[in-house]
Amino acid sequence: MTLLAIISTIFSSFDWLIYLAMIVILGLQIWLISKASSITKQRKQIRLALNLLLWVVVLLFVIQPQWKSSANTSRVLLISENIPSAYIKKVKDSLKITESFFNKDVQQRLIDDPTFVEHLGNICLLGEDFTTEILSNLSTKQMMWLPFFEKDALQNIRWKGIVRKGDLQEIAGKIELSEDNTLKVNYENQILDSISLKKGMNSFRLRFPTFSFGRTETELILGEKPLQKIAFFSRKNPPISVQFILENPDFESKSLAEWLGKNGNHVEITTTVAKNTQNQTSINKPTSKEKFAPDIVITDPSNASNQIVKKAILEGKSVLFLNLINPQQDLKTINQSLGSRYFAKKTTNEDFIKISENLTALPYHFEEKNNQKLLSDYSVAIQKNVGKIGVSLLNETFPLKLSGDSLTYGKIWTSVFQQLNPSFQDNIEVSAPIFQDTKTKVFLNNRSIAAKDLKIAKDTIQVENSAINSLSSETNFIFRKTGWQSIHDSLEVYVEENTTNLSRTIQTNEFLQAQSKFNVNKQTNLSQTMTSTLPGWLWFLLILLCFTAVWIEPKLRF
Amino acid sequence: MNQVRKIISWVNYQLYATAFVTCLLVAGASYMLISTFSATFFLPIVGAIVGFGIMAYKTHLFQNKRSAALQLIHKKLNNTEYSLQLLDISKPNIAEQLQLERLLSRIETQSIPNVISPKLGVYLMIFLAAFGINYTYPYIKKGINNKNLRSEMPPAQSSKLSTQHSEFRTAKLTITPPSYTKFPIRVVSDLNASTISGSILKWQLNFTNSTNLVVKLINNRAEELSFKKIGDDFEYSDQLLTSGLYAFKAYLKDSLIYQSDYYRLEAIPDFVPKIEPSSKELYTFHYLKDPKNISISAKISDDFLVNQAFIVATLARGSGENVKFREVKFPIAASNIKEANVSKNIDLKALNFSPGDELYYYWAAIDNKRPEPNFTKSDTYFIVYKDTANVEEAELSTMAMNIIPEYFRSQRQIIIDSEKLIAKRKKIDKKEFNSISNEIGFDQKALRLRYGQYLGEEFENTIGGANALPDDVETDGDFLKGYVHDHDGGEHEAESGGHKDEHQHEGDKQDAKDPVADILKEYVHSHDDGEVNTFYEKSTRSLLKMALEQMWQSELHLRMYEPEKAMPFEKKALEYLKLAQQKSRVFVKKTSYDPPPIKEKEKRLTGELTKFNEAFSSEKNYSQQQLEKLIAEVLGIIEAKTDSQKLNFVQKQKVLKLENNLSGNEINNRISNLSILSLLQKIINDKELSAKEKSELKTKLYQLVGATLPNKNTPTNKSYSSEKSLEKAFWKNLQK
Repeated sequence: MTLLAIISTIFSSFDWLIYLAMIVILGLQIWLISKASSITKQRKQIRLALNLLLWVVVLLFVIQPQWKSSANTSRVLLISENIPSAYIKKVKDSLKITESFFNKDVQQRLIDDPTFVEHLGNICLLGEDFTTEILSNLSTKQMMWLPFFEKDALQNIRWKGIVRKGDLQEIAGKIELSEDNTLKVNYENQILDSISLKKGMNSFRLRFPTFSFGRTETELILGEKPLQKIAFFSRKNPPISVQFILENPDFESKSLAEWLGKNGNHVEITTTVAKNTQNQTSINKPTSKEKFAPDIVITDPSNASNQIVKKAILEGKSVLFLNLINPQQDLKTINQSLGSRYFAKKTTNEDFIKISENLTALPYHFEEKNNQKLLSDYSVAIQKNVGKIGVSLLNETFPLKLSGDSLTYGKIWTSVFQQLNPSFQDNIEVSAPIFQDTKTKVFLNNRSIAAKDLKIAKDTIQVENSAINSLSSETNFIFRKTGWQSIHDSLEVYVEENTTNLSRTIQTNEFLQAQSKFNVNKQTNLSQTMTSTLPGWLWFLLILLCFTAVWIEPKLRF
Repeated sequence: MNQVRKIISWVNYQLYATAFVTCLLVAGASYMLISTFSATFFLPIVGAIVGFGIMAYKTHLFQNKRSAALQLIHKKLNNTEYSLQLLDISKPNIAEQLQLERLLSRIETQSIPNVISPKLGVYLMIFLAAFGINYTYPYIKKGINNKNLRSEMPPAQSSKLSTQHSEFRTAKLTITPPSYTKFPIRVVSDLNASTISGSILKWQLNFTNSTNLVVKLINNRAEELSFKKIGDDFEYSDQLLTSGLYAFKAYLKDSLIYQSDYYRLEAIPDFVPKIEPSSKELYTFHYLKDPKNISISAKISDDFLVNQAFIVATLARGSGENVKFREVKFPIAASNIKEANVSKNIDLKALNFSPGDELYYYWAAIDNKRPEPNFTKSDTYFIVYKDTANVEEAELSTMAMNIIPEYFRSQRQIIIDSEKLIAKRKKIDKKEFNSISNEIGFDQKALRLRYGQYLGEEFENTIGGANALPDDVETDGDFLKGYVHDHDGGEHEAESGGHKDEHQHEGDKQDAKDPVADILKEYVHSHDDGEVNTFYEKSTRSLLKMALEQMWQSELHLRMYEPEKAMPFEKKALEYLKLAQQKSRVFVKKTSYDPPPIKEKEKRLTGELTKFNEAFSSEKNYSQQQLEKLIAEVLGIIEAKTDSQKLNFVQKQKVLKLENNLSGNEINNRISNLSILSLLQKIINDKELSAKEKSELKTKLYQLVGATLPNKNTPTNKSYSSEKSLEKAFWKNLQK
């Protein structure tokens, strides 16, 4: 029990003391006025009247008179803070609700009258700033929620809490704008992506490739106003094993192998140099003695029926075909041996089409299929079956590297390998933003250790396996602390404070979803007697007026 | 009574305080003195305690001072009559009481005396002296050491210094510009230097406890250049040749103890002399009548001094393969000039400049840069002496080729003219129309005759079966004459066809009369006969003939003022002509060895492999991390550093690696990277970055890595795996 509480209990039980004091003060007032001899009798009467009036007002303030009225409470509106009155009026009118209570008001009524809730029918919540106490008190009632958002404030937003480096981070959300504006996502002073939005309700989607390892904090900015910190964790990709199977040594494959090697991947190159004679080159050979199992096989179409290629596809690995000469014929070969469905149409009669300086491709165009992705910038298509089959129509990319444009070279192949990457182990998916004290879902996939638990923020929790895919599992967690919190050994997620409208919206939504699962009693035609008191500001005004009158009266001469 | 006691106690306190302060001063002085000459901490403390003890004994610090106080009061106050001891008497007799009362009444009015001994000043002086010695001794000692070199430094002391922490104290940079620039030598403390290329830079760094310290300068090629230790300073000097960045590192036994920020070196180049000749024309002709003295001038300037300027003139004489060159150098008198307008007279006579010769000259200047001066030269100017005798011949030869009157109109032109005429028909009167039509008809005829020539039917007269142009008096051997004259009398000629026939018959007769010609007829190739000429192969000839027939028809209609009717024939004629032209093109196939085709599949990869290692394999390892990866990692490290926590060793190594990578990389060696380097340096040195600095660093690092990122429009790829059977079923059903 706090000191304040102790004091308040003492005083409530000693109310009579206050009344006694009031009587004493009244006596004192009368005595002092009657003692004053220098004033006329008339003035004395006026002064006495004014003093009495002041005393009565103060006494009434102490007593706090209440009166009761009957009201139809079968539908009530519960209004949270900071909602413009015009909007409240509009809602009341359109829903035909007569009784409305403010958040604070309800809190007081709950204390005063424990049966208050019982007499309420359907409750309509307006806004999102409701305390958990109120919500839990009202949980037996049928509730309807009307969220209220200010203009130019985020209504909803979602991005990936944990991304692999090089993958695309995607920020999607909803916002209502008061005027046309630009929404952009910035990494410090660098704009990563932007979109121009029109006045009114907008859904937006911003994308950018992730560029760092570890914690990354970017910012969503509307015009010049920062809206939301976009914090996510970018994790390293493990090195991949790539095998080249070549009919003959060529420079394109050699430079690609070198590039892969320099990026820390394991590369094996098998080149046929003569009949029954192969040249083996390995780059970054792993130290462990385990057998080299390629994640990606890179070869040319004539090797489509090669055992290694077929095996890789069956095992869910990826295969990339380079150095096509006659795409239509080559694609037919690939389709026949691997069951893919590639079709290409010739677009021009030129020998090649120019993509950029020093980069050309065969003049063919892939027909779109629903399980194929096209890297339209680079004439590369990837089909997903159990494994991934990629076909590149690029002629030669090494001239880019030789001419010094290693950036573009890197860009092309990062894009291609990003698509071809095998599914890694220990995939984890957390949808951001994550708010403190709010339930957060964590999805796990393809865990390296078949464990039943997961470490989050110094806690260990149980995970639940998916019924469909035994490699997937999920769990829920409520973060109690804000800031970067560890998850699954080396990873981290950013937990935000639960103070924004957005976080409250999520929380309210969550509550209502949970609440809707219960059977709630629908009651209509309810009414209850409502007690009303004078508002505080009126008391203040009355007392102030009386005091002013008492103070001014002696100064007047008449 | 009270006043007396108060005085006594106050004096007593003063005495105690004096004694205590004296003791403290002596203790302090002894501590200072001993610590000046002693290296340990213990000895001065002992000295201080001993000093305090001695003084305490001497000043009776721990003894009762009441009697001494009373004595002092007796001395200082008037009328005490040395009777203050009476106060201590417990039961004074009457006399004593009287005396006391007297005393008290006298003292009552007097104030407390000051009894602080002037000796205290002496002790204070001693203390200050000791303090002074302690403070100044290291400087005096250093001065002595510097004079007498290090040999005088006791070995014990130097080892002590080395164990202590070394810290960077000052840095000084002396810039000595090359002497020719006449710039003063500068000594600066700002290590960002910007000076003329070739200057000698000398860095002098000072560190506390510099023994065993190795100081190095890191340049932008990541080379570490050692400083020389001279006295207490570290010195390094080098010549400034190109702009770049540098930093210092100080090592103590292999561990890096100090790393400076990156500083900028800017080499301002000494520009080459500038020559601006007044004449803008590079190529001039010289004529016979022109003066033989030419005056040329130029403005020569340099950022320092032009040491020497001259003109180099080359005289070329002769033509074809027989050209001789003679080079002459004309020095210019003015030397060591900053900027000047110089002019020079070239006496062509002295050079023996004669018609047909050419003179090339250019200006050149050398500045005063040492050791290798800058050299510059102007454009080369040409003066050509016109040789009038030669020129005419050349012009004639070209004239013969050029002046050919446009005599024939092509078939295409005839078509165009006819079309024009048809279009104009309504605008011009009939007479003019007829006239133009007739003229086109004539053109058509001329063309027909021309092509007829190639077919052997030399002239229109052969059409009648006659021949023998040379004998034709009218044409007189000039085949052009046939229609040149007829330009205005074409009609007449056509009408006089019969007359010509007569001539031809006559010609025939003459031919027949010549027996030699008759005999030869058997053997010579008669080009004259249209039927037997072998100019063209048969089909071409027939084509041409067909064209001529069309031309005939065309001419007929044109002459009848019916250009519309002529048009189809004109066009047909053109078509045949073109066909004939294309037909007559002959392609000769190159002849060479034509190898039999290789059966690729059989032959490929079947070379002899007798000395080939079948288990041919090689291994490579790339350990150097890619820049992009490093940057990505450092970006994460910077973000993680927010909580003002120090970086751990691994993180620091990463940042250091990136810094070395960026500073060592020639391609990335730009001044704009300077800020990145200095900010990374700050991180390595565990300094806090301001929000602005951090934002700048992150932005710049992103810009380095941003270009290699995949395009944001590429489809997303989710790393997700499911059971193989499940996946197979999914894709199978999807493709249906």
